[in-house]
Amino acid sequence: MRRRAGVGAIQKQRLEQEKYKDKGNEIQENQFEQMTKQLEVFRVNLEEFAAKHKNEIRKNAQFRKQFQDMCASIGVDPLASGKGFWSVLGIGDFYYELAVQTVEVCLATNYKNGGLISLNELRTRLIKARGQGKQHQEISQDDLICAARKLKIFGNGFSVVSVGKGQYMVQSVPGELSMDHTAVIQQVANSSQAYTSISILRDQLNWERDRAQKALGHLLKEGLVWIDLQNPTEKLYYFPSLFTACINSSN
Amino acid sequence: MQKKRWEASQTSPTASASKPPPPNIKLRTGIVGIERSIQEKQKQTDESISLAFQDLSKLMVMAKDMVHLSQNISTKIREKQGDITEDETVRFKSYLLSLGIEDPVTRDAYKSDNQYYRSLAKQISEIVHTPITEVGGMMTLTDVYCRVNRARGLELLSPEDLLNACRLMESLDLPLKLYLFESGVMVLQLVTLNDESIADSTAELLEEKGSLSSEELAQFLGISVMLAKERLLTTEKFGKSCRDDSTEGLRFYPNWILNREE
Repeated sequence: MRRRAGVGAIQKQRLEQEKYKDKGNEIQENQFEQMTKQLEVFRVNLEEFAAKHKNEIRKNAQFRKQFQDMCASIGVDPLASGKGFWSVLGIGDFYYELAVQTVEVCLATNYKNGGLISLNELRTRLIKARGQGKQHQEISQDDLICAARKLKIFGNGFSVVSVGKGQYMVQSVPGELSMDHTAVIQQVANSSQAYTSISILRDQLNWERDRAQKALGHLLKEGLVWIDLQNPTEKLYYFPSLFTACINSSN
Repeated sequence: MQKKRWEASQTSPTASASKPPPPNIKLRTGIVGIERSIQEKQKQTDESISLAFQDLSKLMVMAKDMVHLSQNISTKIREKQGDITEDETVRFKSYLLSLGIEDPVTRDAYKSDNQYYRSLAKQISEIVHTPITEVGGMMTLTDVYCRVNRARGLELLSPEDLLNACRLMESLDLPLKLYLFESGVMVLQLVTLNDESIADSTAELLEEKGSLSSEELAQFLGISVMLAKERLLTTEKFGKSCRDDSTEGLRFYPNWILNREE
């Protein structure tokens, strides 16, 4: 058919566009209904899964981690709401309570470590506080990291800092820990002592004097390190948050 | 004869090698028996875990599909394509929240016609109203979270649940409201509290004491160091104090630059 110009063609084009638009709406309405239906199917499957594997999740920390990792990779947070879809798995209370207890431990130890606590110490204290018996569940490092991270949205500075070699620190006060500060903590955490100094930092991290001074000065100001002026050679900086780790470590 | 026996014994190993081993291992007592039963149990656990992982994987495939679908719908909503109704949008947002899907669509002010969060807001307000008044009218959300969950005991709230509920408080005319400091710290405070009155009363304290650090103020008022720091910062914002920042810490002094006459 010969393509026509003129008003007729324009009107025809408009009609076609309308049709496409309607079709678009139709497809999109179907999408929403589709989602509603899929959600129902998912809910049924999730309930089945919960009935079969709820216990496994409760008892097996590795399975829990696997579950969390998979959720994270597809972009869902099963702990976003206590009343949400995922609540049928019954892991909400576990994590929310862990979060509460984390806050309490951090608050109780704040006065001596300035708001920075090693994940190991946190875990030890929590296990002690929760006591044996009850339905004593195995609390893994990952569980704690997950619980601690959830507290971040309150803006109070809860954050989990990695200090290398699979070690973590939990920070519970606001304050910027820059990469330099983390490097200092890392250096001390990986040494067998709980202190550092300008010369140690220069030696281990290859920093200039000023850079080391600045980092240590900030940590001192934030109350994360204590200064020892009695050493004859130079000032030493101690991390109270690493004392227990020092005692408990094998080296 | 020997040869035959030899041949016979040679054929038997091969014969038994081709025969399948007897299916049932006789259960033995003693250490070997215990070891065997541990192995059996381990095998069962491994099997049940691997079954669980299989089921988990299937579940995740389904969930992933829904996430994709929701992303499509979300894009349509934001670009205002098509006729997704107001009602459907509200329902869609609640799906996202319920599944725990991060999406810009849910980040804007949450519609207050969610019955759950509204009743939650009232419940929270009841639980912490008195404690907040007792500590000077302000409490960090972290603190509120602990108190509320301790009070509930079961069916605890997620941090997001708490935050969403607190966001509604002001619109529901409750005696508490959510306040966000510049530093990012979130608190629940009495609606009767306002910045200027805090600045004034803190400035008076500074005059009285000469100078204060966050720790000192915290101890004096019986509040947390973080909130004390916020008070001092607020006072500074109103120009009623000056800071002295050193490695010994942050101290605040009355604002002599403006107030003292030379």
